[in-house]
Amino acid sequence: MKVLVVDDDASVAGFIGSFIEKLGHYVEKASSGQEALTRFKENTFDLVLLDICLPDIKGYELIPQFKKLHPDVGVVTMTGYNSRDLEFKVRKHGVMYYMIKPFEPDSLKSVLDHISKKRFQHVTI
Amino acid sequence: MSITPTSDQLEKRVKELEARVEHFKRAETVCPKNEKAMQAIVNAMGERVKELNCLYSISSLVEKHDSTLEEILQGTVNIIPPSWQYPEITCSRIVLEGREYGTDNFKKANWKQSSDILVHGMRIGSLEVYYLKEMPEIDEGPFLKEERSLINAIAERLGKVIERIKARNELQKKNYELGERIKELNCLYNISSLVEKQGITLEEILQDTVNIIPPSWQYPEITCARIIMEGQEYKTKKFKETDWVQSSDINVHDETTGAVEVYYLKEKPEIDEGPFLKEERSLINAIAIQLGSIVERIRSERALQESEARYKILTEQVADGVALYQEGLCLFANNAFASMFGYENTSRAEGIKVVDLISNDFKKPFLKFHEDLEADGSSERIFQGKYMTNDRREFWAEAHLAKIKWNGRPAVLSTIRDITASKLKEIEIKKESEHLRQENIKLRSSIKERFRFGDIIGKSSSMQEVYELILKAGASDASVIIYGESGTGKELVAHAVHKMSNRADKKLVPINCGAIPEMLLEREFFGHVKGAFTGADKDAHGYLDLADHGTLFLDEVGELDLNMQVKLLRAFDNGCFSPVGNNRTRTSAFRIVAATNKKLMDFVNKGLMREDFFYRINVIPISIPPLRDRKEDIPLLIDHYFKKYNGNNAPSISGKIMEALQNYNWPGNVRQLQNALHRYITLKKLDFIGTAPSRSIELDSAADEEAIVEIFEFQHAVRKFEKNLVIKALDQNQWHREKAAASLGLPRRTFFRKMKNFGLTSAQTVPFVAHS
Repeated sequence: MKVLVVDDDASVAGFIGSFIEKLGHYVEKASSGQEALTRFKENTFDLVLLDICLPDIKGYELIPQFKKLHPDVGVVTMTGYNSRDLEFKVRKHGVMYYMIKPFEPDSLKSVLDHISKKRFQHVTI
Repeated sequence: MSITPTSDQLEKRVKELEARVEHFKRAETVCPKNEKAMQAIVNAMGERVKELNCLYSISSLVEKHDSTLEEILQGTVNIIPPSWQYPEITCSRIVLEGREYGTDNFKKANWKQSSDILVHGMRIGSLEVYYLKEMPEIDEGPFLKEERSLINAIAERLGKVIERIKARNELQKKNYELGERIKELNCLYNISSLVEKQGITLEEILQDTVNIIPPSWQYPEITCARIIMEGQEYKTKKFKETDWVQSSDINVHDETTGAVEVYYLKEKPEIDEGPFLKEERSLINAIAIQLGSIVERIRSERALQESEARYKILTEQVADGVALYQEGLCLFANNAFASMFGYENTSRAEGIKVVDLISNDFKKPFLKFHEDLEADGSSERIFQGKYMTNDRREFWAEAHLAKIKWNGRPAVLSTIRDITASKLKEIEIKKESEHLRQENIKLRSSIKERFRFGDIIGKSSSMQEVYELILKAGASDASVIIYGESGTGKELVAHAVHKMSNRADKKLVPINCGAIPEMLLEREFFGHVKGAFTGADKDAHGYLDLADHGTLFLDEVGELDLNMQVKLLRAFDNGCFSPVGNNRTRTSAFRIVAATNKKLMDFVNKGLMREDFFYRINVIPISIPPLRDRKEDIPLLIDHYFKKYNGNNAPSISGKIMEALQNYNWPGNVRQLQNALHRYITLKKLDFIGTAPSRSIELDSAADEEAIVEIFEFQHAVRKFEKNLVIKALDQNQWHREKAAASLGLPRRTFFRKMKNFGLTSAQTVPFVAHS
């Protein structure tokens, strides 16, 4: 599967990217909202790992744009600090997992497994 | 003049007589010639003694206390003959008040003496003495002088005796009457004192009264009594109805409500009015009257007590404040009033100025209201306004003011109710209704047009039904389940339900149940607590918490596993749930709107869905028809999306194309149509699938559109199948093309060509387009 990791902290993006690659998936990285959109237009992804607090565009503004380009893309958001308002702004766009940092490898693996399973289900229909 | 000679007097007399006898004896000796004369004197003296004895005997008759007048008269008449000169031929008679008392040998004769008996100077009878022989020749025999004076003396004496006896009888009668009167008074007094006993009931008074009656009657041991009061009977112990009865009605407020009866337990004597008589008659009447007034009094006391109790309940137990004002001052207030205005007790509230209880903004209207109340004829009015407590806290209240008289002067009785909650609600409702009114205008026009409902487009009758159901669901707070194939717009319907509901100003939180990994479902729904305290910035709140007071939209609800269904069911039932990592219960008041493209009943039958969970969410079902079942809406949708994407510059669609669009089955429903139109506008190509079509209709060179559309149906399905197989093979082989080709049993080059055709390059996937 193809995964886009969006985080302005290169070390976080690197760590997550290598974890996903180890699971056998293809990973691209973006360090800003704008870069993420560019990548998303160039290519299609099964999953986006999105840091909400990007320097240019807020994560919750990016999700609808991703979904417009590819309605079935899975989105997992990441944030270090949470609030009820922020959570609603994100969740109302529909995310697979609202992850609070630090990074949870098991949760992320279950997300990836879930997407493959869904795809498999669709194919077998 | 005393006619009763005392023994002293008699003795003295005897001594005098003896002295005279001595004197005559001497004279005899001196003068024997006078012997005859002396003999006469001695005879006279003897008569005199007889006379005295007679009177004395009569006197002693009278002295006997228990002797009746009749006995005295009979005795007297018997005494007379022995006192006369010739007792054996003497008889006598007393005639008194028509009755005669005579000696045994009485017989009228010529030789008669008589004397009148006078009482208080009135002749009431006579005393007669007869000699039973021929009247002697000598006119004045031995009768005469002495006997004359004796008969007079006896008659006179009898007169006195009768006077005395009559006086005595009179006195006895008076005494008797007085005794009866005292009994009567005692009886009535006893009855009265019964009433004074604390806590005595009317029933007890009546029973005690009936027991008091016999002792007050002349013959208590044979007297019994009964009181009847409003059908209830009160009897003495040995009660029996007999013919010998006296009774009197008991009247209460001039109405006969009962009776007092007194019975003598013996045979009724022949004389109609036996020992009962006058006094007892009046006593029974007096008792009846007294009982009547006691009943009246007890009833009025009871009524008073009841009305007092009612008053207390009314004023003290009601939640409404009650106050009485006069001349602008509070005279009286109940507890509710005092606490409503923040006074410790009712006496604190008394004496305060009424206008001080009104909030500043409402003082003027209140005073005006009061003036109007006094001026106009209506007795009661309602004032609504803001009031102010002792500690200057304002609250809304409604007062009912009634004009009354208190101590002869006009006053106002006010009952007051705190309506803050309902007033605020009312204000809110007013706002809301204004909002709704405007919404309604929009809505009505849209419904009237029957072309759209919010963002939902469609004029078909099946969509009209959907609109109706949305309105109904909006008016309720029950769970809604939206059935519809993919792409039919379930989310739009969910949004419309939320917007039409009274939760419209709160959040609608959508969840795609199928998109969330099972492992994460619980923490996504209930939240996840990482820190020691909930609410820290490391906690995820979860969908339920975000949906508090709003709507939780569970898309693809059929994807929830049984374990999750149980957990959610618990939260649905009471709004309580515990975040992952913390046992503290949180609450959320959310409404459920679920959606699915599956037949949930089949899930239930297969055991994939709990029946209770199904019924919990399946309260108001709304089914959205697939687009193929409402093809009449397709032109409307095309028009809508053309305007949306391109304003008025949309390219026109030929009749054939329009026909093709309308004939197509649209398995992806409106979303598929929307995407197709979007691409048509941007790429000027019409296709019915995703972003990488193998065949598309070049509009400029469209030769045989009908055939194209038919071919498309088949090719579309084959292509979709093939592409999915290729992707699956690549996924399973970590995108190693050779391995993937081998797994499908295809030559490498064929596989590469197919990848290229499907737009799949190395390590690159096409988006997965699924139209179920």
